[in-house]
Amino acid sequence: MTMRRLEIDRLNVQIGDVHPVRDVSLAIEPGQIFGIAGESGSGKSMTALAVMGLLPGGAARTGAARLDGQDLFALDEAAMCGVRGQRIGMIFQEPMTALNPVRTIGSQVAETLIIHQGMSRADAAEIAATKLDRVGLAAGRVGLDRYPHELSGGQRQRVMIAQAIALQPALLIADEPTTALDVTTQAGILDLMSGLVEEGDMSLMLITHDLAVLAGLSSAIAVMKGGWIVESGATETLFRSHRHAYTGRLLAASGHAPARPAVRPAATPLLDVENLHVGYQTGRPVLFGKGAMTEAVRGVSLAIGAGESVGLVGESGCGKSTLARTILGLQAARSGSIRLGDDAVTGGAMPARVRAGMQIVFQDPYGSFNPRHRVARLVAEPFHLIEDAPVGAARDKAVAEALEAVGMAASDAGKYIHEFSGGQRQRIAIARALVIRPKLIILDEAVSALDVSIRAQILDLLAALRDSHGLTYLFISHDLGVVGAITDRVMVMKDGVIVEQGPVADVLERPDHPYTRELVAARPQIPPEWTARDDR
Amino acid sequence: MLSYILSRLVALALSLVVASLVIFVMIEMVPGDPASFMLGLNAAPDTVAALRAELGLGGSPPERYLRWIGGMLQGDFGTSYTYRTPVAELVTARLAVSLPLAVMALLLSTLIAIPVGLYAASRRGGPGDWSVMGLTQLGIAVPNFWFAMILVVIFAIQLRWFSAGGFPGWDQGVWPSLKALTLPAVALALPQASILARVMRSSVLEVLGQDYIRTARAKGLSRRRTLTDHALRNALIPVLTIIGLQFSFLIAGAIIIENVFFLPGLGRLVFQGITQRDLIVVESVVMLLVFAVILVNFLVDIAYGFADPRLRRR
Amino acid sequence: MRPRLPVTLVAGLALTALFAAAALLSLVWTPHAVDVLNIAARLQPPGGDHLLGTDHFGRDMLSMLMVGARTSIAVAIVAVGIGMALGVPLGLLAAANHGGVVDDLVMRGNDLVFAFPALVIAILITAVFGPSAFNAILAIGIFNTPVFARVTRGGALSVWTQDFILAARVSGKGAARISLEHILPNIASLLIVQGTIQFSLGILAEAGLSYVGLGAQPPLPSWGRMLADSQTMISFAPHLAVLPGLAIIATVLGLNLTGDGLRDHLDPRLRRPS
Repeated sequence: MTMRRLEIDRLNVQIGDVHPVRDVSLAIEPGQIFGIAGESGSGKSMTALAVMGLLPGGAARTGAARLDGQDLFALDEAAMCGVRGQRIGMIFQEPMTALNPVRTIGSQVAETLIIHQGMSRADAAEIAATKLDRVGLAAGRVGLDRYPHELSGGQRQRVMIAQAIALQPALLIADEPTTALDVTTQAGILDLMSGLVEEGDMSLMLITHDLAVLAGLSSAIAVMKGGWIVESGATETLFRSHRHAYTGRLLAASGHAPARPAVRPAATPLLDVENLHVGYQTGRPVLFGKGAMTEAVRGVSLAIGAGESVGLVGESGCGKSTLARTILGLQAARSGSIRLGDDAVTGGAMPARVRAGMQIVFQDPYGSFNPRHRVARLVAEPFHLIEDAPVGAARDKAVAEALEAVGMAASDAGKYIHEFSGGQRQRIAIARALVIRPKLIILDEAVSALDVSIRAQILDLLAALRDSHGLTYLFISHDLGVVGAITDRVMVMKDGVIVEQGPVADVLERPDHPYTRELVAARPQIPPEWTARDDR
Repeated sequence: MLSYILSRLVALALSLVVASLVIFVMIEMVPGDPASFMLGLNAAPDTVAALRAELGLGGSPPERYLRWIGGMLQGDFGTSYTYRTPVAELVTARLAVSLPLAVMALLLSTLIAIPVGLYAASRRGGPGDWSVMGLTQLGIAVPNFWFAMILVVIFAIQLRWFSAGGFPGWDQGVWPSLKALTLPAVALALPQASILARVMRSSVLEVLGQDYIRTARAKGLSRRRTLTDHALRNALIPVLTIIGLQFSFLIAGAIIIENVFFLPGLGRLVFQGITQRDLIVVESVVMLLVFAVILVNFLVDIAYGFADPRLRRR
Repeated sequence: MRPRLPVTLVAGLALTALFAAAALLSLVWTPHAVDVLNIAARLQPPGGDHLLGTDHFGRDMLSMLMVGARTSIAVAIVAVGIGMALGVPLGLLAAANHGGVVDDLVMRGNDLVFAFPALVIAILITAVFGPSAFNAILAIGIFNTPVFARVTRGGALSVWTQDFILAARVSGKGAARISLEHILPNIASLLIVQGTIQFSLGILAEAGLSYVGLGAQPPLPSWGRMLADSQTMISFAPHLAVLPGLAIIATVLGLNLTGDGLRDHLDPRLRRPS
C-alpha cells in the first residue's frame, strides 16, 4: 500500500468559542498538487497553520495530521521545529512583509540550511545561490546581498519559495501565494511551483480563494466554507458535476457577468481626454535641487460616451490610478486636456459645478469612510459641491433615496460605518457617489477586495444602477475577467500608455498588442466546457 | 550610505548655526548691556566700561556673534567674569565630571532596559510581564532628584557605603571618582531605564506580530531563536530613536542631580553662572549642552542608517 | 458594544481626580493657612493637630501639599495648553503640506527645539528675565510644542493616506476643511493620550525646575521647592522629603495610568469588528 504524503484526520480547531476548522479530513498523495478553495473565514488558512503547529496562541486542535505516516500532532515543539522548513515548507500571501527587512535575501535563504543541517555559513550561501537561481533569481541579476525592499513583490515571493524548498521538503504549503501579485507575475509564480512539483516528488497544498487558479493546476480540490469541507474530489469532476450547492454558487459567482444594458452611443463624448501627460516627483530633492520626476501617464487620449461603461485594465504601477486622480481634478496634468461635457477639468482650483459631475468608488471598503461620522453625514458629503444643496428633511430624504437605491435601508443613515460588512460598505460607497447624481462614476478597483459571491452582487447592483440612473462608468481594475463582465469597451494600459482598446469581446478574444496577449494568456481560467452546464 | 551621512551632516551644521543664533539673541535680549547686568545697578560707569572692553562687547551684534562663534571654533569660549579664567578651562574641568556621569547613566539604563524589556515581551501577559510593567510605571513616576535624595539617605547616611556628595577628582584615583558618581548615575538611570524598558517591550511585541516572524517559525526556527535572530534587531531600531531623544532628558537630569550630590559639573557651573550673572559662562555652557544633544541625535541617525537597510540610499 | 473600562484607566482617573480635587479645594479651604509662620510648631511629625506634620517654619504640610498640587497642576496644564495650541496646528499644517517647504520648515524647527531640553530653555529664560513660575510654564510649554507637532503630523499623515480623504477632496473640500473635519477627529484620541503623558512630564519638569530654583518662587508653595528645602533636614525630619515626593509620584502615576488606559480604550483598531 502506498503511503499518503499528508493525511489530515478529523481536524478541529477551536479558539475560545469559535471553531474556525470543523472535522476536516483530507489526503494528499506524493507529488500531488492539492487545492483548498474557500472565501475569507472559511478556515482554509487555519487548517494549514494547524498542520504546521503554528496556530495563534489560545487555539486548541484535535484530530491528527500524518506526514508520510508520522503523526505531527504527537510531536513536541522541538521535534516540530525539525519538521518545519525541512520536511514541510510554507509560503504566505504577503510577500512585501513576509521577509525580514534588515537581513539580506541570501542570509534568509541560507538560514534554513544552517539551522537544519548545521551547515557553515559559506556552504549555506553557496547552496542558497543555487536555490535562488532555481526560482529564477540568478545571482548575476539579483545578488545574495540584496535586501527585501530592493525587490519587487514577485521577486520576494520567489525568495520565499527558495527558502521553503531549500531542503527539498516532502510538502510545500502555499497560502494564497499569488493573491497580492499582478496577473502576469502570478502566472510566473504558479509555473514555478508546478515545475518544482514535477521535478521531484514534493506535494503542494495550494490554498486560494480563486477557483480559476486551481482549475489549471491542481489534481484534486477541497472546497471549504465556515470551517467545514463542503465538497472535495478530483478537479475536473468537481467542476463538471459538483454536488454541493455552495460549490455551484462559488463557480457561478466567479464567472458572473450581469446582464448588460444595450449601449446607447452618444453623439459627443461625455469625457474627452487628449494627449494627457502626468508626472510626479520621486525621491526627495538633495538640499535645494529638484527631485527626479517620473512620468506616470505618458500621452493618454480617450473618450467615453454618455451612458457607456468603459474598462481600464492594467497592472500595479501602470499609471491607471494617477490617470483616475487627474480626471477627477485632484492632480494637475503636465500637458494635455480633459473635458467633462463642455467643461475643462484643470486640477487644483476647479469650479465645484465641474467637480459635481464626477464621483468615485474606492477599493478598500474599510478606508473609504471617516469612522467618526454617521452614514448620513458620510453619504451627504458630496453635497458640499452643490450650491443649493438640500438641507434638513430634504437632505435626509436624498440620503435615504441613495441608500435605498443601493439596497440599504433608510434607517442605516443613523449608524456608524463599523457596523457594516465589507459588501455593505461598498454599497454605501456607491450611495455616496450617487447622491448628487453625477454623470460619471469612476470605479477604482471597486470590487477587488470583495469575496466572489459579494462581488457578484455588487456587479449586479452596478449594472442595475447604470440602467436606472443613466450612469457612465470608468471601471478601473487589474482583473480582465471582472472588467469583461461589466463594461462595453476596454482599454489596456501599460507604463503610462494605453496600448490597446476596443470592444470587450474583441480585446479578450483577439488581443492585438503583445502585452494584452500576455495578460489574457496569464489569466487563470476555468475551461468553459467544465462549467457549460451552469449557464442553462 | 555616504550621501545619507552627508545629508545628516548638513542638517547637523544647520541646526548648530540656528541654535547658536537663538542662544545669542536670547543673551542679547538681557535688558541693558551684559556688562552692567553682570555688575548690577550700582556699578560705577567706568567699571562697566572696563568690563565691556574686557568682554569684547564692542561692535555691532553681527560682529559680536561672528566673534563668539569664531572664538568657539578655535576653542576660545571667552573669559568668565567671576572666575577670571577662560571659560574653556572651566568647561574642560567640569566636563570631566558631567560627561562620565552622562555616559554611566546612559549605559546603565540601556543595559538594564533592553534585557528587561525583552524578558517582559517574551512573558507577555504573565506574572513576570505584569511585575515589569508595574515597576516601570512606578519608575517613570519617580522624580530622579527625589530618588537621589532617598538613595543618599539609605546608602550614604544609613549604610555609609557611599559618600553623600562631592567629587574627589580623577587625580585622586579612578575608583573613588567612579564611586562618587555611582549613586548619581543610578538616580539618573532609573527613570530612563523604566521608559526604555517599556519602549523595548512594546517594540518587541510589535515585531513579533509581523509576518516575517511567522516566516521564520515556518522555516523551523525555535521561539527563542526567532526572538534573537529576527525580532531583536528589528525591535532595537525604534529603541535607538528613544535613546537619542532621552539624551536630552539625561542632560537636563544631570544638571539637577549634580545639585543633589554637590558635584562640580557643568550643571553647577551654569547655576553659579546664573546667580553670579556670569552670562559668558551661561551662554557657552548652554551652547555646549545643545551641541551635545544635536551631536548625539546625529550619531543616532547614522546608527539608524546602519541598522535599517531601507534608509540607506545607494 | 463599548469595551469595558480597563482597570488601569479607573485607577489612574481616581488618583488624578484625588489630586485635582485637593488642588481645587485649596482655592477655598486648607486645614491651616500656608502663609502664617509658626516657629513654635516647627518640624512636628505627622499626627495630632497637623495630620501630616509641619515644616521648618511650622507650616502645615497637608495644606502646603494641597497648594503645591495647585501650582504643579496649573503649571503643567498651561504648559500642555501652550504645547497643544502651537504644536497641533503646526503638525496639521506640516501634514497637509507633506513633502513641501512648509513641512520641511516645521520639521527642522521641531528638531531644533528638541535640542533644547526644557531645563536649558528655563536656564536661558531665567538668565534673561529672572526666575519665576512663569519661566517654568514657558519652558515646559516650548518644550511640549515639538512633541505635539510631531505626534499630530505623524497621526495626520497616516489619516491623509486613507481613501476617505480622497473622497472628501472629490467632494471639493480644501486642505484646511479636511484637516478640521476629517483629520482632527481621527487623531483626537492620539492627542488626548499624548496630552496626559505631557501633563505628567510637565509635573515632573515643574518639580525639577522648582527644585533647582528656576520655577515657582517663595512664598508660593510648590512640591519641588518643598523638596529642595527639606534636603538639609532629611536625616531628622524625613517626612518633609518623603511626603512631597510621594505626592509627585502619585500624581504622575495617576496621569500615566490614565494615559495608558485611554490608549487601550480609545484605540480605534481595537474597535473594528471581526
